[in-house]
Amino acid sequence: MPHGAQQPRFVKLLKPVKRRLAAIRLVRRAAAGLLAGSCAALLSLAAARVFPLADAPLIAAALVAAGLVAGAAASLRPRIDNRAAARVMDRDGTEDAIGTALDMLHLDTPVARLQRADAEAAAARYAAALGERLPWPRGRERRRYLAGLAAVWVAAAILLLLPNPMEERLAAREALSDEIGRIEQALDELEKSGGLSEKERDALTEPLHRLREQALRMEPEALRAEWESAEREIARLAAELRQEQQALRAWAQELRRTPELSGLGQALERGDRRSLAEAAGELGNLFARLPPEQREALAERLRELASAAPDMDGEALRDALERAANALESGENEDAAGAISQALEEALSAADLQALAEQAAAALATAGSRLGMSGGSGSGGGWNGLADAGGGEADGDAYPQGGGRTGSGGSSSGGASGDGGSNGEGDGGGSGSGSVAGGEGGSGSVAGGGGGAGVGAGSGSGSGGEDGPGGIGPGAGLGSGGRTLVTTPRVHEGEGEITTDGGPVPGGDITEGGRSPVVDGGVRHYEEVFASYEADARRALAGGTLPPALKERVKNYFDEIQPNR
Amino acid sequence: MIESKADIAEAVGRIHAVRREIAKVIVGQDTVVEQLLWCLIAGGHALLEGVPGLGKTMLIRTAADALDLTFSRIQFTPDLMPSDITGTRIVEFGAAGQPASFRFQPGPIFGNLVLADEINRATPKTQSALLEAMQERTVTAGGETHPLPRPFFVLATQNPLEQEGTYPLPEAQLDRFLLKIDVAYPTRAELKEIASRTTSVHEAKAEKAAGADDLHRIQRYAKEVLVSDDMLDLAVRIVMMTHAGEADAPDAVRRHVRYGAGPRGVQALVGIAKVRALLDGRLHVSRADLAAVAAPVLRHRIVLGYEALATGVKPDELIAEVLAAAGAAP
Repeated sequence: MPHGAQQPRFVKLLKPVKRRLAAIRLVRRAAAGLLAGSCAALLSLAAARVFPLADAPLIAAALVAAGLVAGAAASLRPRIDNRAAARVMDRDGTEDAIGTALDMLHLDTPVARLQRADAEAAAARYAAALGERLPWPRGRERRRYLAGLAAVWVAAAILLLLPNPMEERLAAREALSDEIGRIEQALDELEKSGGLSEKERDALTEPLHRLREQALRMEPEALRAEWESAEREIARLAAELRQEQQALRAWAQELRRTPELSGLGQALERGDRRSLAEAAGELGNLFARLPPEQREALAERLRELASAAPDMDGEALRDALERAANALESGENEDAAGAISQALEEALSAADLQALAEQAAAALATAGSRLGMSGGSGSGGGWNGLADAGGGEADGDAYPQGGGRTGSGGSSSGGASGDGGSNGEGDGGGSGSGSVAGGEGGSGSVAGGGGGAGVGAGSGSGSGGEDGPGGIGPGAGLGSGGRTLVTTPRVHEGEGEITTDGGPVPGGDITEGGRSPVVDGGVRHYEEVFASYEADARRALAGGTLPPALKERVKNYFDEIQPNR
Repeated sequence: MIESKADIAEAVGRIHAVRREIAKVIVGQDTVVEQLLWCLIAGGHALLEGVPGLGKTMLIRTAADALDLTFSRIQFTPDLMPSDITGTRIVEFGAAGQPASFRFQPGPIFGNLVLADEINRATPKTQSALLEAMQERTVTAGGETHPLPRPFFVLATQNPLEQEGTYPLPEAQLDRFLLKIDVAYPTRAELKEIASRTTSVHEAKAEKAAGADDLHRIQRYAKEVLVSDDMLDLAVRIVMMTHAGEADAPDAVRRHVRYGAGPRGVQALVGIAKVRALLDGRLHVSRADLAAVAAPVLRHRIVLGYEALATGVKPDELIAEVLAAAGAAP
């Protein structure tokens, strides 16, 4: 066509054809994209049943939408130009007249004009019957497409409606992550206070991190093994810390027997940092007021206490007490007071760490139940499995994780049933009070402050307490299980408000707690529990970490509660 | 030059009239007649192949009558010499006292429509003389070149049955024929009509429906027919797909074809397609035109391999595959 000439009419007739082609292409490609996206969504939903995929329904919906959008976007390119429209027309109705006319637009010969006239007539005929020439998808093609799409969507709906076991795993992983986050936060705070070493932190968090990473990847059997391994490590740590804590409390009692240091001992026993700080603050003045002979006697007493001090953080406590004794002898009262205060504060951090370990164990158990890690040898499924598995391990293990776990369970049973003092590590004594404070939620209080929970674990039948010098625990329990079965708790809530339990026993003291460290458990035979605890106790006694006075007491305690008595 | 639609209509009317006249004599064979007319309008030569007695000679003679062209027939035999076709110089004695002189005596090739009957019976030397004249449209004898009359068409026939004592045309020379027209056996109804017509007193004869000038004008019209780029691409694609080495050649071509069509094949394909378009009243070539003319244009340009010959694969089958693969199947 000569430059500037008016566009021939047949070219204008191409416009409706182009629009129609574009619309049909949009519909076809969007439909194809929708089908592809739906298939991808179906695959993702199916995959979510084999592999843990978070938010699989959302992903599926996004895939459907993405397929639709991608299909629609794909219809925009390549652009439908005159040539493309002419080709479509020429294939069906215009016998290549349009394409030829487009090619010959530059010619102005009679033949070219005549041919353009032919093309125009053909294009007009085509445009008049556009609906028939370029029909929307219909017939068998459309039916097949709709059937396919419907099949995919029905399958997807079925997959969405059927419960997905992986969702439990994901929820458990999330719960585990949350717990780990809380534990790490608490560890950070503890670290700031200087009471936490890197080693201790790693010991507590490393198994949890490892488990969190692998929780969604491992085969069930391998995961169960890994889970049990993590449980053992956490339980071992908790047990070690518990032992340290028990030893510390026992030692605190020795401290209380020294009048000048009774305030410190009391605060240490309660795990009360503020009281400890206050008592330590008064030490300097107190030491200054003492006459030299009393100071020497006190220094000597400090050395005795140092020799009996539990193994915490190496020899740090002993060294600090030795330094304090030396400082006291040389009249450096403030230095002596500072050394004692610092050593005791660091020792007190072990209590916090123990609470965290218990908390980690509880988190592990919670997530474990969601993941169905209920293998073990145990009676009862779900939670019980975990506890029983632990118990099973306890029999042959050098560490009393079974004890630890059931111990903590014991502490909680008090809360749950309300009739078991549970606490009391034997010396708490008291006739059962049932007062484990906090009621249902109170399990937290028991565990947090009471520590030592569960040694008596409801076994007590009121044992214990006659000579308990102000038992730490609010009374050994009137265990609900008698001596046949021990009920380990299922309650594991509680945010650990401060709970005060005076207990019926004179001298009963306040027990403070943090979060519940309770591990869910099951029902176990008393003999089994006893054997586990007794073995634990024997090892503790053999290890020499207990003062001689306490060793005898522990021995007597286990004699009292043995099953065949 | 085409000035109006009326020109086209007049040309098409002439050709239809020619067909009607031919149809007075020739029973059936519509496709053969149509392809023969394509060839005449395109200005090429055709090779007709069919068993004896199908009316090939009659067809050509009738076409000559209808087009008012001079007709000559050469029966090829093994002892036919080139000069028997082209003509020769002869001594012409003058009147008394006048010296004798040489004069060129034109051979039978000097006609508008030459029937080279059973061309494969002549020796290659004689065949070559004919084919050279076909190509050059001149005859050289005694140092003088003599142009052949216009229009000039050679319509050669071949008998595919008898191979004894024949000299098959080389592939290079086959390529010089624009079309190879297969003359099929008549149907029952056609045979009945043939029997009826040829045994009666009345002898059918074709009347002149067009002349050489008409034919020449229509030939020019055909050349004016427009071809789009897409159609040229398609023609090239069709020809290239007859080559076994081409990437998009169909499997059958790869397996059975030794050599495919050459550049003359594309020329013939487009030229004949234009003629077909014109005879259809169109001024542009369509893919249907290319598909319709592909078989007669390409069948003698495809050289089959041993396996195809052994298994009886026909070139037309391969061409159908090519058309399907090229997206031009009818």
